[in-house]
Amino acid sequence: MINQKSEYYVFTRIKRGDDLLFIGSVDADSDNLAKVYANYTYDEEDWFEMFVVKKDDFLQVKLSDGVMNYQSRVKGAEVV
Amino acid sequence: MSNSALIQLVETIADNKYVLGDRLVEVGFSGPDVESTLASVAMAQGELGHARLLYNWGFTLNGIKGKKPEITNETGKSFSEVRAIDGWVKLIANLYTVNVAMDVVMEAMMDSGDADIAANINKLYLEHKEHCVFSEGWALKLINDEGGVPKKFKEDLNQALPEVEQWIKDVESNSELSNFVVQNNLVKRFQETIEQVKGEGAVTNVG
Repeated sequence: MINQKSEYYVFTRIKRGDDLLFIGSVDADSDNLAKVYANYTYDEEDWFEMFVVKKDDFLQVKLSDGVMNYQSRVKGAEVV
Repeated sequence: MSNSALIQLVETIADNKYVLGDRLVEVGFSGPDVESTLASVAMAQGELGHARLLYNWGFTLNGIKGKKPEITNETGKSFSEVRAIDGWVKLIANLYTVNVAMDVVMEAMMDSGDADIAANINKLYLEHKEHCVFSEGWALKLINDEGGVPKKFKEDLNQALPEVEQWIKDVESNSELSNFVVQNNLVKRFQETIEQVKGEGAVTNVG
């Protein structure tokens, strides 16, 4: 079976106005399956809101500190 | 007007949900990955819950008041291909076909504006959508898979279709259901949805 899975992070809000919490992740082949998996996997609360975000869509702004780490010094701006 | 056609309709949906719930645990338990297994078992609980609600509504329509009888088996109206599910590919083919059919019929029932129908199926109609999303996602995955999987999936889908399509035709043409179901293009809507996935060569991510 072809494996075209991506990792999706799951974020929730317990009540209106609460902070958005990172609660875990699911692996899925499509956005729709990720939503279904997240809803069934993390059903311990009656969440006010739940989101899934593909891990690849996270844009890194601050990298770990390192000597001559050029990318961390541009603070998120894209280096062309 | 007699309720018998509506009772038949409600029991057919309940029976299929009952058997699908059973198959989702039996076969879905050995799903290809942990996420789909977990979703299958959770969805089985949903299907069995929906079946119980529908059976109880059927009892009420039959005039049974007070405590409802224990449900120990289906009433024999489930589709033969659904009862014959014995593997993951067949499970998805039947789950998808039956889910689309139920969705089309339940939408037409909701559109009838009947308050009793809305009160009895509104919640499960909304929950059913998630089952549709799951089965469609998996149908698209299997149809775009490699090796013999897409062929097997299409074979199972084609085997499941005639009986389900005949059921929708019957629902659409039964004059006794005209007050409970908006009998407009049900077969066409069913066929179009199935064809869309059947003809799809590429996995889509429609939000």
